[in-house]
Parts: sequence; structure tokens; C-alpha cells
Amino acid sequence: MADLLKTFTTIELTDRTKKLRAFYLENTKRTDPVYTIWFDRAIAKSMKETEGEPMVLRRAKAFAAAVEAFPVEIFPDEPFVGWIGGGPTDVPVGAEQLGARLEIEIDAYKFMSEEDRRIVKEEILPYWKGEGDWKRHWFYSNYANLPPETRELLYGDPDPELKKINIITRSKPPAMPRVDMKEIPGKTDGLGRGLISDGMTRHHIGHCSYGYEKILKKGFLGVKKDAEDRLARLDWNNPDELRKVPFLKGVILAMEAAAGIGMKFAKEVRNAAKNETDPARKAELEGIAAICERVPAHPARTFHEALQSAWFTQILNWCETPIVFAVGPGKVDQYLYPYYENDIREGRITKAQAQELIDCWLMRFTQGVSPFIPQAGAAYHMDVGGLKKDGSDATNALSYLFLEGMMHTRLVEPNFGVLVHSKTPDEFLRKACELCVLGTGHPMFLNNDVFVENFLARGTLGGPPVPLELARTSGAIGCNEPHVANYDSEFNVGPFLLLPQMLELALSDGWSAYHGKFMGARTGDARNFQTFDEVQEAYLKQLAFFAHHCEIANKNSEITLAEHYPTIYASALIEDCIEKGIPREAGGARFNFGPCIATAGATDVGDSLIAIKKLVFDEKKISMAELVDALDKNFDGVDALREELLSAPKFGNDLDDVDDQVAWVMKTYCDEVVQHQNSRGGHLVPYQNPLVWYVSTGKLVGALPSGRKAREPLSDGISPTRGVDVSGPTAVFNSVGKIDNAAIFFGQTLNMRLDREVFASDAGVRMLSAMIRTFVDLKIHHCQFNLVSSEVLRAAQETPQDYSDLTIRVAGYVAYFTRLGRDVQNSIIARNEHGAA
Amino acid sequence: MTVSKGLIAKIERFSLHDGPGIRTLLVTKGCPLKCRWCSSPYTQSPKPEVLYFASHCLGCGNCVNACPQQAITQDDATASVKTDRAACVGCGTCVYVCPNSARELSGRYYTPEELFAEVEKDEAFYRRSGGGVTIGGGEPSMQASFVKAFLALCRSHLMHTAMETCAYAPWETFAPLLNEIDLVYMDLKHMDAGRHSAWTGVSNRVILENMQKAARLNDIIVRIPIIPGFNDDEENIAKSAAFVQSLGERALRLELLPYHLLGSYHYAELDRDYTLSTLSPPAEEHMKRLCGIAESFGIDVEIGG
Repeated sequence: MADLLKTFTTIELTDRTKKLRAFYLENTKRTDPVYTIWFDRAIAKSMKETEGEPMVLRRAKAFAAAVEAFPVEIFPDEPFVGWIGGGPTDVPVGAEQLGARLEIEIDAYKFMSEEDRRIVKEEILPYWKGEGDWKRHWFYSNYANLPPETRELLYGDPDPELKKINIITRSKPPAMPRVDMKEIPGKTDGLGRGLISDGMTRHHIGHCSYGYEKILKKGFLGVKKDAEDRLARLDWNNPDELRKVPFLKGVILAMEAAAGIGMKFAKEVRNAAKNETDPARKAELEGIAAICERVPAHPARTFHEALQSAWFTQILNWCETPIVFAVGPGKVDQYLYPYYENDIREGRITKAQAQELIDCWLMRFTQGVSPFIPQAGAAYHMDVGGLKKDGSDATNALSYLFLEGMMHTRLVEPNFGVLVHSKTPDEFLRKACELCVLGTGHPMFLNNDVFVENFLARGTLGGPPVPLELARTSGAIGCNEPHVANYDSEFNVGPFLLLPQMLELALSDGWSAYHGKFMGARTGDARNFQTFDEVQEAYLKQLAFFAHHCEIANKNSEITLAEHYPTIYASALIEDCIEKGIPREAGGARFNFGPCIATAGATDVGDSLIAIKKLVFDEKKISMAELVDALDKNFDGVDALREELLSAPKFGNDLDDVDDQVAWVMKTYCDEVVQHQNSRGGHLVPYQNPLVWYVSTGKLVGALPSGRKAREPLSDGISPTRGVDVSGPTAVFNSVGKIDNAAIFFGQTLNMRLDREVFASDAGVRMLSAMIRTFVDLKIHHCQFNLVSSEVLRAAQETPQDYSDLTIRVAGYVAYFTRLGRDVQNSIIARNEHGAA
Repeated sequence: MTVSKGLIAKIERFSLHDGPGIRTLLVTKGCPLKCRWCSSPYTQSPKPEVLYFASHCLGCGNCVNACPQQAITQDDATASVKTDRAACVGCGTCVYVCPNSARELSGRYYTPEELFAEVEKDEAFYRRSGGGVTIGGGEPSMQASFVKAFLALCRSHLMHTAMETCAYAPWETFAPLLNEIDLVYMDLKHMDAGRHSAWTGVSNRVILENMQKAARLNDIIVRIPIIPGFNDDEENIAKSAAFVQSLGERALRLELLPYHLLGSYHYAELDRDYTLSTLSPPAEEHMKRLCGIAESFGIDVEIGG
């Protein structure tokens, strides 16, 4: 790879970049975060002092208190300042969010000082715990307000007398694996598991991109002035207008506090400069101090100021909530470009200097950890490329420098996307493919043409339509979710339902084997189904039943959230909250799409449906009764029947019959989801991305007619089920292209594994570019490539059944790796390692 | 005239090494040569054959019971199975009963239209990459009328067509195919007729003649598989390069393909022994030296592989 890196990069890494890279690389290897308490302490203290005041004002004051408590750390060698703690993996403990869970977990945290542990237990937690019922915790009213039927689907128990109210916050929050359960034996009682989950509980902020451009242009004091102007324009005779007063006052307070973070740092940086002995670093620190005196209070003037201002805008989110996840800087090459261009034109900076700043800035985004996924970053999504408002290509000089920066840094974060479309220039696409060939998993390719269709389609379904200009300039957040930055309130991951479970329940008349009772819709005994249509109808009824309860669960979460945790900082930065005078949680944003009803396993359902259609109804080889019985006993003793099912067509091989079923599954799911409303005037959106949970969620799903056994992993996004796509990458693209990707508003994930050897050359990069061009033609939403390393090949030797789709270039041709003889396999592994040296 | 069906051993989509761009490679079944180093022995017979992947075999014995010819026997001690290839008729019954895909039928009959429907699936990829269709083998000219009809269909849809051939066929059979092809890969195994015959089973006379004729009509690329001890002496390479040089401008390039063992596992899949299992691939230095010799004839030479 060393050779490739040399060929692909045009600017050399500076010593500073190398040094910092080594530092961050080392830190990303740490598996446990370092817990800090400055935020939790400030918030609890402030909230205690403001009891009785309007919540919007209390939250604004709490934000200001957190800015006041923000740690001022100046790290060596860095051209930027500001971070939430003393190290890259620092994370606030999140006492309000975790509640009783924190009480039982805190002693198991690996990196936390004893003094901090004491303060949390004695000063912070008691406030949120109150009389012992956690009534201040927003989850209390969220749980209490749920109708028993929805509560049962969420937690497995209707709990009509609310007996569990005291332990509600003790259960393991969905997907927040901070501590291994084994480390806290006997303390895991809490809520049970139902059939759907509500992802919004406890990690409510995130999946949004806002404010960067606005703060660059007018500074926090400019936004403060907007709120002051709005307040001055209030019609004091109108009660609706009067209700806006606390929010607008809150915004003024929060913006004033946010503006102050610059001066806070400037003072300390000046002190550091005084004590610095190295004259070069001393001068640099003086420069950084001057930058902090200017931004983020005022508009940025230079590229360096712009980057520092955007970074402050990013980290100030941690003053509002401790769980900042998937709040990303968005289309960095677009809003930063004017500052870069200006500096270059006026000779203030060279391209190489700008590159070093970008490299260092990118590495700041490896800080923070995911509250969801062990050993992952905080999912700061950024994009380059894409379209301008007028529909022309948006690629500029910075787009290239950011790609180069990703080549230089090669770390897990930021989550880096390249927006491609029919007008993407060849040279830019080539450079993006070169980054891909380096094998870091970056970038993801996002189809901007599909994004445009996606946003234009939403307007007809409720809420104001997205104008063409904003549809074109949309980007992504989180993993690959389409988003109109600065206008879209999208603040969370919503309820989660599993499509394969819908099918399971359709085949069991709504009986949940896990719970031992009827929990789904009663759709009749599937043994008696006479036609394939009846199977599909039963499936759709289950889907509608669960989507209905997802809607209730989500609305309930939203209104509780709006009451308990309005975000003032974020709302100030999202249009049109100031104008409307209400926070985004109450519907202040221009667009109120989402959250999503997320799902997984559409491929498993499609593979199952085609097996039923073909074997039960077309060829009549199996009866419905035999099938249902076989599923009930997880295929025990019916190997031959399972073989029949396994031999039915599988998605990902460009076979119309099964691909049409998967397309039907996605279409009916999308159609169902968008009929459901949120509490803010918008509708819910479909999303298929199980992240790493296709393994864990698979454990909840019984045997399926696809031949998949109970508890085996589900398919990963829209990627074919592992081991069944045996027709190569073009077939996978064609299969996925048959699905209406634009209708999946929150997107879906297509991960593919390719042989590194095939693409690691100039000709290989050209072929990959051609693949991406075709990906655009086929209107696929997202794809990301995992170039296969020798580690994967070794794993394939161990468990060949999991890797039967793994193709590899042998000599002049491509072969299935697991079919090669052991010695040939070994020689290929040796070759790969040679190539990687 | 009705065109008979063609027998295809496999269809390889996303092929990147058999012509420009992203291609679909069609491996025809049946070859007039029996090269000792052949890396795809399953393409030699012009009939369907069952391949057996021992690593996937669970030893369940389903195939043994299912075979209508009783051609499969199971070793009681190891549970591994063996197919009596003389008795096997390639019906594929055993393939369908195998629970772990340890058996595969190599060879399926297609009409030209059916085969075209397969290659058409990746048309979007050909268009974006400058790719197309390559028909190889086996030896495509053994199914000339089928191949011609198929390639004509591709051509009528403006697809780029290429053929990989050993060039051993009567000119009257061979020539009509060339009209439907944009690029021809031709193998030159040895310049000496005797040596050629000893290692491949046939003389090189027809092959050399066909190359000379084809180079007047088509763009061709000549390939030499470099087999140590057979054709890797400097004299043979010099003679070969001189021959390529004599073919004129439409012989675009000479490719030297170093011998490899990577196809040897296919022999076991057919219950056959591989006779060259002790032969080592040529050293990189040696390949470079041969390349230099060939280049001295003023032709474009590449080491492939």
C-alpha cells in the first residue's frame, strides 16, 4: 500500500501530521472511553437552581453553565483548540440520560477517577433520582404515558399498574453497550424486551447537521442578534407570540454563552504562548489566540478562522447534551471554500499549508466515541462533491484536498462520503476511487441524483415541499442518511421493527414464540393459506399493526422530549426555529421529516417469499402446513425440506423473480412508514441500516422460509445474505438497482466485499470508477467497499460456509476463494500480504 | 437455418482480464487440444461433467444413492466419494441432492438468445467501462455456428466482442467467426511442430497459418504460456517473437503468461491426476529476460498473469 499511497497523493505529509496521526491512531485502539463529569455537574447544578422556570429557559441556562464549565485544554502540536476533555476518547458520563443505569454501572467503568465517581454518586445522581422514582428523568413520563398495548410491544409487559416505574431507567438502554453485562452480575433487572424498540429513548440528540455555515458567516453574536430582532418584532397582543418569549430569551442567552467560548480559549492560549520556548510554536499560539478572539463570536475571515469556528460549533453540542452522536459537519468543501479561495487569492496561505490544516482538522473528528457501537467513533459525517443549487457540479479545489486529507489520515473517522451524480468529473471520481483502493473503507459513495428524487418526493406526503435547490444541495448524516442541513430537524433514530419478524408473525397468526403469547395482529392460521396473496396480505397486516404502534411510541417520546429536553443551541442554528419562536422539538424547523422507523432484513423476507411462492404455490413441492411446522421446530429433522428452501433463488444474483420480491418488500415497507405522522407536522421515514446489529437482532428472529435457521444473523442492510451472492459485484448492483432506492427516504446500506488485488492499480481504479458510474446509472442510494485483506481470507479458511461468496483474483481470472485448494489459498494470502507491504 | 445450442462451462461476470473494460467471459466447453499444463481441464470435454469439491463434501452419501448410473462410490473409512467418470453421463442428478453444494454440473446448453440474455444483464457496466463480451474456452470454434450467431447478436447491440482461441480449426470454420469479433486473443504454444504435438496433442501448422490469415483481418493479441522445460528456452521465444513481428501491424501485442499451479485443483474436481504437479512457475528474472528477447524484435511485449 505504501507504493499506492505515494502514487495517489500529490502533497506530502508534514512531520506534524505524521506525529498527530500516530497519536490519534494509538487512541482509536482504546476500547473503553474515559468518563468526565464537568458537563453532568454543571447541568445538574443549573437545573436544580432553575426549578420552576420555563423549561426552554432552564435548558438555555444549563447550556450556558456547561460552556462556563467547558475544559480549556491546549494539546501539543495542534493548530486548533477545543475538546471536551483531556484525551480523544473522553466522554461525559451522562447522568441525566442513564439514570439508575448509571448507578449500577459506574463502578465498572474502567477509566474514571474515584473522586469523580464520588461526585456523581453524591452530588449529581441524587438530583435526578429525586424521591427515588426518577421523576425528573424524561423517561418516567414517557413510560407512564404509553398505552399498555404499545408498552407491551416495546417491553414485553403491559405493566398496567406501572409497577416497573421505579426501575424503568435501570434497564439496559437500547444499544448502549458501555459495560459488559457480566461485569455487573445480579444488577440487570429492568424492563424486558418486546417486539419493537424505540431508539429515541436516552440518546435523543444526533443525526443532524446545522449551523456551521451560519456561524462562519455571522458568528454566534449574529445569531443572537437575529433572536433579539425577532423578540423586538413580537406582537405583544397576540398570546401565541407571547408564548415564544421564553424560547427567544433562551436563545439570546445561549448564543451569548456560545460566543464566549472563543475568548475563554484566547486567554489560556495567550498564557500558553508566553510560556512556550519554541519560537515557531510560540508564534503559532499567538495566532491561534487571535483567531479565538475573533471566532466563533464574529464572522470568520480566513481559512484557519473558518476551520476553528466550525470546530467550536461542533464541540459546543456537548454543552447541550452529553450524547452527541452523528452530528456532522456536512458538506465541508462547499461552505469552507470561500475562505480557502480568498486566502489563496490574497496569498495568505499556500495549498500545502491548507492541506496540513485540513489533515489536522480531520483528525480532530476521530475524537469522541459512539454511544451505540463499541470501538466506533461518533459518526461525524462529512461529504464532498455533489451538486450546486443550479444543478451544476459542485466539485472544487477543496473537494480534492479533503480526499487527499483522508488519504493522509486513514483513520476510522470522520465518516466520509463522496456525493456522485451524472455530472461528476472523471478526475474527481478517479481520486475518490483511489482513496477507496487504499482499503480503509473510505469513502462511501452516495448517489446525489437519487438524493434529489428522494427529497422532491417527500413534499407530496405532508409538510412543506423541499425546493429543488435544497434537494440538490442535500447531503448525508450519520451513516448515509439523506439530510437537508440547517433546515431539517431530524434529531434521532426512531422506532425499530424487524421485517423478518413481521413475516414470522404472519406465519404464526401473531404468536410470539419468544414471549409465549399472541402479540402481533391475528392474521389466521397460515397452515390454511391457499394462495401466495394470502401470505403477502398477512405480512402486510402485521407490518401495518406494528408501524401503528411505532407511531404511537414515537409520538409519545417526542412530546415527552419536547417537554423535558428542548435543545436551545441546536434550535438556534436550525431554520426557522427563531422565526417561529419554538424549538425544533416542538416543530420549529422548516422541515420535520422523521424520525425513521428503522428496519433490517428485507433481503431475508424477499428470499423467504420467493421460496414460499415457488415451492409451496407454484411447484407445490411443500405444503404450507409442512413449512410452518418445519419453521416451528427450526428445521429439526427436516433437512431435505430445508435444502429445498435453500436452493430457491436468493437476492443479489440478478435474478428477477427473487429481486422483485425484495423490491416489493421495500416498496410496501416504505409506503407503510410514510403514512405515519410525527408530533411536529411531518411524517416518519423508512430506513434500512442495521449497523452492526444484524447479528444481535438476528438472535430475536426464528427460522425463516429462506432456509435461514433461528437466531442466525440477518442480512446486512440491502446487502445480500452472507454467502448467497455468487454471481459477482455487477449482479449485486443490478439486484439492488431493481429496488426503488429513492423511496427509502432515510436510505439503506449496501456493503460489498471486493478483492484488493483486482483494483490496486491504475487500471483497477479506472474499473472501479466505471463501477461507480454504473452505480449512478442504476440509481442505487449508497455503496461502500470493503477491500478484502488477508485477515478476511484467513477467516474464510476457518469458516468457509460464511464466505462462499468471497471471490478473489487467482491468476487471470476470479474464483471463489473457498473452493480453492488450501495450498492455493495460502499462496493467495501470501500474495495479498506481499501487496500490502 | 436453425442454430444448435451451445455448451457453456461457466459464465464469469465482472471479468477484468480478458479484454478492455468490465466484461462477461463465456467459457465454452470442448477443446481439440490437450495441453498438459491446462488450468481449466473441465473445458476439455465437449460434454457436461460433474465437478466435485471435496472441501464442501459432508460425506452424507446422498449422491451415491441418487446416481442413476451407480457411478459414485463412497469410501467407508473416509466417507469421501469418487465418481467413475467413464460411467458418468453428466445428468446432474447428484448435484441436485447435494446439501452443501459440493457438486456442480459444468456445462449448460444455451441458445444464442438465452446466452445473450445473460450477457445483456451487465450492459450498463460494459457501457461505462468500455467493456463487452469475451468468448473463450475450451475452444469456441468447436461450436462455430452457435458462437457466430451469438456474437452477431452481441454486435447488433453494439457490444464489443473478443475471443480467446487456440486457433486450431479449419480456416473455413474459423474465418466466419472473425467477422463478428473486435479483438482476438490467440495462443502460440511452441514454434516447433514436434514439441507442440508432444505437449498439446496436435501440430502447430494449422495454428500458425490461421494466425497469419487472421492478422490480415482482425486486431489480434498473441499469448504464450511460458511453461518451464517446454517452451521457455530463448530460441523458441526468439522464433515466436519473430513470427509475431511478421504478422504485421494488426498483431497489437505479445503477452507472456508465466505458468502457474493455480488451476491444478481442478483436476481433483474431475477425479483426475495432474501430471505437472512438481513443475515450478518460471522465475521473475527469467520472465524479464524472455520479455527482453521478444522486445528486441521491435514488438510490444507484456508479461501477464
